[in-house]
Amino acid sequence: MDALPAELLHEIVTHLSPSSRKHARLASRRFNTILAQRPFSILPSFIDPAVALSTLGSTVADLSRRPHSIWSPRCSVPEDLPVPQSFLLAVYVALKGQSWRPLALALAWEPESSSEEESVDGFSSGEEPGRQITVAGLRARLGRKDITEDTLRQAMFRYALYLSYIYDGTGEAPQLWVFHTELWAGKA
Amino acid sequence: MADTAAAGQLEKVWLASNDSALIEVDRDVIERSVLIKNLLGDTEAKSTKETPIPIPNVNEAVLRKVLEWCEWHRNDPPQAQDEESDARKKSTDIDDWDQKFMQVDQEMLFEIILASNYLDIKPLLDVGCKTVANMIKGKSPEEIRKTFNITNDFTPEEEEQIRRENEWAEDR
Repeated sequence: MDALPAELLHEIVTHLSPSSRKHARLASRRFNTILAQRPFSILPSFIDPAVALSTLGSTVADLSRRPHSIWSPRCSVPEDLPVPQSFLLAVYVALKGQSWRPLALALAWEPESSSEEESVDGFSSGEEPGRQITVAGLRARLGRKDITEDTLRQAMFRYALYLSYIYDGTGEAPQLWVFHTELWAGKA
Repeated sequence: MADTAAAGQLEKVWLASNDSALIEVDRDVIERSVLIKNLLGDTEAKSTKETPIPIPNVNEAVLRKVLEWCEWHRNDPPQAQDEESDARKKSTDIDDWDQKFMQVDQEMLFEIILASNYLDIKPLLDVGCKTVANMIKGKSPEEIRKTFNITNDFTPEEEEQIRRENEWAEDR
């Protein structure tokens, strides 16, 4: 496998289903580098509420095998819904194409990466030191002023709806914890 | 598929592998390679035993295997112009002959993929990539590592982070 250049690994993974890509990401750093962004291709568009609502509407209209019941695409976003670390991490990888690293580790592991970019969007731009990703850190590292806790909450809620529409597993889509207030504390 | 009835009357081309083996092949067979087809089209010089076309990136065993595929598929119609279509990308269907053809060890499989990429034989590259994709499909990360002898170079923290990211991955 090491003999294959990245362009051919890219070619191979285009033939994988999303669920296979999820597992393959975890095989090695090389696989993760190639596959990191692919499972989140539509997530960035959910940061724009108008696009998110449009996507939900068209997805519902196009569902060929609609589940017995679905939540309305126009559900109100609960004001107190927590935005967990997992979603911030997913947004980062979706927009940046690589997994988030605490700044110090990012610089230590990727010396060839643009130090100028990191110094601009790192601590000096509002990122808090430490291992946890925060909304402020995410906004700073991505250079996106439109990213706030509220926009992320809305994006997450509507993206969870979208994932529930396309979910073809048994039971309820796991992301629908957003509707279960009793589960919020464990996700925060 | 292969039709060798008129093979004796066809123009021949000589190839030299990177381990100096000389291989004679029908021109229409090796023209499954866009690289060689363009090369033959661009030059008036004939490829002979004395002046073979060098294939510097491919050894004899792999080149013969690639030529076996080209021979079988010599009369296939040109690939449709749907190279980027979702249907083609998502499909991992491989016809029976190609499946048997790809029953080789991993080293040879990867060599065939590299050779088809170098020689620009897109349908063979597709078959090779789909074969590898099928070996990945449905496997856990640990099974993928075992299949391809991949070292897990993640720290436990990195692995946990990817699992958390994956909670929001599209999955269908």
